Amino acid sequence: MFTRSNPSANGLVLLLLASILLLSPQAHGGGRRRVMAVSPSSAPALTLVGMSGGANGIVDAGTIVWRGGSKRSAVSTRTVILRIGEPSRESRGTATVRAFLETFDPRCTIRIDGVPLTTVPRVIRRQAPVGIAFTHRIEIEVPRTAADGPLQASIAWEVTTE
Amino acid sequence: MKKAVLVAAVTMLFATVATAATSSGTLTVTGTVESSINLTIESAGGTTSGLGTAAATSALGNINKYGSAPTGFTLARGASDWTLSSTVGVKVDKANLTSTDYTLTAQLGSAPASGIVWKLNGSTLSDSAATTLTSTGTYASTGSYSWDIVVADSAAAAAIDNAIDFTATSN
Repeated sequence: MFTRSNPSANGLVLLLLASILLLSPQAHGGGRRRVMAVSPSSAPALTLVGMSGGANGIVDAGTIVWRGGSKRSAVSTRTVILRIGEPSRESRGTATVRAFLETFDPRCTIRIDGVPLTTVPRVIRRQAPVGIAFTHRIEIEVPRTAADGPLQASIAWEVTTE
Repeated sequence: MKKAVLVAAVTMLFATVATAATSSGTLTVTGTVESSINLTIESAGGTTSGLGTAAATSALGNINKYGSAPTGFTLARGASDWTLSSTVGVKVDKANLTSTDYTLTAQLGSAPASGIVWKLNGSTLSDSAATTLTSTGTYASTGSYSWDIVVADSAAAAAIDNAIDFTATSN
């Protein structure tokens, strides 16, 4: 006979609860271990494999000039090739890539694959393959009304394994 | 009971932290914004093409003193010459520039045929020096300049083809 005051019944319920709680993280983490195998202590590093226009981790948008017409801004487009973790022939899991502006220039808007960046991290790519390079398009847009001169901004990237 | 619940909660927290592994990196973007102005021919007499661009064309066809004026022109007959009159609309836009106005000049692309005089805003154009049309042009506004082609009665019957080269300079 099970009642709320039955001490043996309470012990059984607690044991059951503790078992579920202890087992569930392991079961949930089973699929994750493949990803974590790349780097057991943190997510695999994001590597800049290549880019158009620039070098040494600096994307050079070049000289941005308005070319006339009805457009209200000038856009410079570059591509970057990134890789999460060490190179491999097959994906060793997936990760979410986020980006935000660490430092920004108020005269320009920077977009990655059409996603405008702000100082708040935004998802650029979900399920990015770990170990396989992938490409992103960076657009630097400067309105006609912006002042001339050099511009500089820093894009911070975050990779979170899934 | 309280101890058991506390242990379970701590276990859950640990499990959640362990699932999120994050790495990060930074990419620097550099560039140079350059100021610019853009000149377009917005209107002109004659049969035109390329309006709205910097390379427009106006064809007048066959012209003579006693015939009819070409499209967009008027014809005035004088004692010893005749004049075709129209206007040219020129617009200058700016970008990434603090300048508030501009200077506009015009110059013929080649020496005019004998007996032919080209005028803009009443000033005779030449192929050797630029003529100032305005030194206070307003950006993004089409300026209209009178355009005259004066043909002497003594001029030979021949093509009068030429080009008017406009130059805008920000002040």
